Amino acid sequence: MSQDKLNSASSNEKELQLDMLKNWKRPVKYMPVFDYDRCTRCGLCAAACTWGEIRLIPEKVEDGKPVSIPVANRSSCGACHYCERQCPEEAITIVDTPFVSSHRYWRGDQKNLWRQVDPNKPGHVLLISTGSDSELISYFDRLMFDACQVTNPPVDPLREPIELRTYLGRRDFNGNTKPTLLETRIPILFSAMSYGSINLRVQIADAKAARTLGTFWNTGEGGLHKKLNDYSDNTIVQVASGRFGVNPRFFRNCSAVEIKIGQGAKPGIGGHLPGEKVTEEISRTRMIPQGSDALSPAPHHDIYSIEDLRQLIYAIKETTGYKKPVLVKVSAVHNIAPIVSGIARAGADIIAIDGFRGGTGAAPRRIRQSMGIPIEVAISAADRRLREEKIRHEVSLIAAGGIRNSADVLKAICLGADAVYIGTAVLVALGCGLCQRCYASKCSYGITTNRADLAGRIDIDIASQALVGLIRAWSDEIKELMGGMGINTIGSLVGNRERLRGVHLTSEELDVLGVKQAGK
Amino acid sequence: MCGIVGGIDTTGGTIKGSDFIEAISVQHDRGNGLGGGFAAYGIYPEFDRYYALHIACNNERSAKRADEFIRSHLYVKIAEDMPTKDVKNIPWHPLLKRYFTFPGPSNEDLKLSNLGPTTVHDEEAMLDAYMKKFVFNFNSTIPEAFVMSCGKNMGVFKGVGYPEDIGEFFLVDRMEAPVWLVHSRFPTNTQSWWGGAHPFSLLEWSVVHNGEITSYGVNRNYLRMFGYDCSLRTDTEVISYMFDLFVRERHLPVEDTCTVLSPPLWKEIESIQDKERRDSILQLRQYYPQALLNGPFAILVTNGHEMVAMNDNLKLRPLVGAIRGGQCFFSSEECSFEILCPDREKTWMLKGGKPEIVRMKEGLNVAG
Ligand code: SF4
Ligand code: SF4
Repeated sequence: MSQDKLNSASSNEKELQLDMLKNWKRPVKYMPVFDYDRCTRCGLCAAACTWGEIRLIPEKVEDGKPVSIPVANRSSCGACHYCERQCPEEAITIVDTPFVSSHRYWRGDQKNLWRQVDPNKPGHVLLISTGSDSELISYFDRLMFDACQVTNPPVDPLREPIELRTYLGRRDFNGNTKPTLLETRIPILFSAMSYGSINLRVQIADAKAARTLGTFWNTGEGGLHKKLNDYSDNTIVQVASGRFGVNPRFFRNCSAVEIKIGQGAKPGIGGHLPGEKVTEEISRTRMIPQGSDALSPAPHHDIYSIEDLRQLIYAIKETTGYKKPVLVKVSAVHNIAPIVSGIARAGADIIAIDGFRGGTGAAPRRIRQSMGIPIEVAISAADRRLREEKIRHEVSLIAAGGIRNSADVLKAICLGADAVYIGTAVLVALGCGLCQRCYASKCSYGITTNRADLAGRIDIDIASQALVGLIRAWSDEIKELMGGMGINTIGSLVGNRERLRGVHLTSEELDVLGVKQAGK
Repeated sequence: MCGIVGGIDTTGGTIKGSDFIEAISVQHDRGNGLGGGFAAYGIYPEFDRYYALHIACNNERSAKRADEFIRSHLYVKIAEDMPTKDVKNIPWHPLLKRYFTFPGPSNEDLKLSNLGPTTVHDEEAMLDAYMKKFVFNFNSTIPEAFVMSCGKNMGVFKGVGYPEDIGEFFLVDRMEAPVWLVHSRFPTNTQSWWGGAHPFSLLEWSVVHNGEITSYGVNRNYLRMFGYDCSLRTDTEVISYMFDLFVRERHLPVEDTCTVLSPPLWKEIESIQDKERRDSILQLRQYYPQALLNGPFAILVTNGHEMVAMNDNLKLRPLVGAIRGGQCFFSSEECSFEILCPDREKTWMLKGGKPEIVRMKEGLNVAG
């Protein structure tokens, strides 16, 4: 090649202004692909996508009217699948367009690093929503249930009653006062999701379903909206470090009070609801000025030790006349066992442990992916420690974080939980495509957004029916599983590791879980 | 499977051991020769102040260690070999010893035993608690030896074999007693050993059981919190410990204990008209979910004064009752009644989850 030609190539480059950082383009992860033979050019998909991935471009004029065709922007699809599921002609497929680097070690992180140098938003902490999608193994998947054969008959749930009713709370034999126990028809409660992180319509659907099912929903840290006063028999209110919406009405209209110390997705991290999300209604419910950021500090500013927690527990008990059980929710962390024992001794009636798979409206990506421990080991360690200290019967345990189906529910119970909290499963039941972008407040399904037009995508009645249907289905599945194990009341499974066996686990893992190897 | 038989003479009269041997032998097919046993009450009237320890040791060495252990913790009134007779079908047996004992060579030892003050209500309770602790210590520290029974004026005679052979071996045919429990074993969960045969006994409570306790893991965990070690490798022992815990330690009436172990369904509880009764049953079920026994079972439990016969809620194991005069019998199969009480006035089938409680000198107030 001559020198001339080389020179001309470089001058050409100048004209075209090739500069990676200036002409920044996010690497494409997902995108809609349209089947234009099926597509009737109705334009619904462009309206459906709240993320700005689909634009309509003029195609032709037909009968004097302009006709537009949808195309992908290749910029912002997060694979929520909303457009795909809404398209009346089934003309859309969301495809994964993996950016494959030749460098295997860097593959995953290269993309994230690029996002952090995006010139439009340089140097930002990566945010993410929902529970961790880390590729660590799930212990749930490596545990198998026992079943009855010959020596012991299975119970047929279609013929014989199998009972799921559960009472949660402190059973104190020595005290004279009659303890207040929380009665739930099924050992599944709806986990905390605050008004603000989800909209009011979703909360109402949640509360309605809890009432129909005879279980509980949880306000999360955003206070209790007036419209939900009526659901007090099925409401757990949450007091978190921001103390949003904590007032007499809040304590009156609930069955139990939860103190949130931590959340599985972001142990040791507070919360942040940006000011633009604090609408008039939210500001009233949270009792903060409209438009101001709602910041939950990482620690409660009055809890720096276990004694402080005890004071808050008893302050709440005094406020509620010792009539309402107090829950304490903590993230599953390495030394969860002594922490739980301390909380039980501090006077909590119920302790909820949230594993690292637990959902969140927004968390720093690095925290979500690499802090905390799986709920399976945490609940097992906590249950065992409480038994060793002979106080297991004085407190109930709720397992949370990463419970995906009815078998997970029952495995968590066999590992020592009295009941479980589900959150992500609730959202998935309402449509959620698990795109992990709730923090952006643009949820196309209308779940984790307060924009009135989007929230309108949720029909309260249909949504609550979906939830009721889901939990009824899970209950039936749980009964089938219990019947197969020859057990007709759920209490007989709490901590019953004898009914579990492990596969593909090291002896150390089996030991922590307290489960025997399959075949033993 | 497994076969169980029990009998109580509420008038204070006695029933012959030979009758029970025959009564269990007609249920031969319910066992497989891997376990049989008898509990008899009121058999040591001359030593009724002493705790009668029935001990089995696999060899001379363990017997020696057992003897040392017993003597260092208990006052021994009498120590002797258990009277037995050679029986063709029992080719091997452990060394069997009988001790009549009393807690502690001195009071100091009582203090040293670390009893929590909250569990002790009076002297009798303190002595019982000491013995209980002694038994658990014995079973866990002396290898290849175990306590078959330790109550006053009662004893358990059990081992590996068909119950009719075990009965002959222990000379049960020469005994007479007002209260009896008998068991024929068909083990399914655990390997057979002498310690795994029934009846299971702790202090005054003994139990025979046909079935499988699927809630065993939960029950064992619960009992461990209150000092009961489940070391005998079988699910049945939890039943005797539950009775000991609820009736002896927590002073719950036997009726309420039965409710705790096998409560009515929630729906049934809700439909109870009498509010006080409803609340009390509801509370028992709310408070003690970990004590509930799940799975198929028929059990007979006694402390020598009262006998409880109980089935699981779903009635997955057979259990029938019979009455003759002031005597009441329970059995897995009616055929045993043809031996025990051919002239019975009444035979009835027990209902699932509805325990029958028969008490000494109170007459027969059973559902049948
Ligand atoms: S609606 Fe969702 S799946 Fe469809 S293009 Fe937009 S972001 Fe992608
Ligand atoms: S709730 Fe909405 S934004 Fe959040 S993950 Fe689900 S679909 Fe995405």
